[in-house]
Amino acid sequence: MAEKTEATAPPAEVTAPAEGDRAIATREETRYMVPPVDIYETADALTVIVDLPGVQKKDVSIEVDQDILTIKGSVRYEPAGDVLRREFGLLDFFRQFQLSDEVNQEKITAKSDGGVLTITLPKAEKARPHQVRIQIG
Amino acid sequence: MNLGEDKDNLYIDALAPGVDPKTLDISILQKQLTLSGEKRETLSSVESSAVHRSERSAGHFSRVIQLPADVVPDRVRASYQDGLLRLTLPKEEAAKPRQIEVRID
Repeated sequence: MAEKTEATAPPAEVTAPAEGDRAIATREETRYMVPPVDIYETADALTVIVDLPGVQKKDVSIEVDQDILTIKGSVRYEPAGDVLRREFGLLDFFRQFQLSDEVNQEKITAKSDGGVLTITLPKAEKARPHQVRIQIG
Repeated sequence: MNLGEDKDNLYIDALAPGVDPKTLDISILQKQLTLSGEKRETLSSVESSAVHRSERSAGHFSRVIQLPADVVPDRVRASYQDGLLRLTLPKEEAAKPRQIEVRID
């Protein structure tokens, strides 16, 4: 998985606070890993796809509070045997996004499959593109 | 990939979220293990102008790893759960450590 870099300014709808290193320190004791995401937009919704390998569905938490979407995944991973090579460790995952008022927060849904979390954020009615017919007098 | 061992087995763990298990291929030739598979595409059906972020890897992947001991391919066990692939590779008898008794004459 590639290192996340903030190459362009984040879009207005969904922004993330500056994260710096891959493992970030929050006010809590534990250190976290920042999971990579794909985000795309359709006419009806925003979709956020998060890689959370090693996280069981019951250990994923998604919360929305004061326009902030928080995704957390806790991991229990022990490498087997005596370690010969260790390319990855698994810390708990943590990532936050700022939601704009385009999103209907009540209708957010999520599903998890094969270590991938898909979150669908439907847009509020007023944010959907509407056809406007203009009569020419 | 993480590699570990004990006296009976080698262990390989690989992070592979979103991989279609039908595409996972593990092959062993002498001491070389090749792991490949296909990660499910999610953005290919989306117009590029609609993509806000694209951080996740996608598509075909392949890794080759040199094993430190000979293993018995027919007895390799693999499990894929929550995007974590775990392999247990039993060592060949000849590759297991032998206790050598020292006689003091």
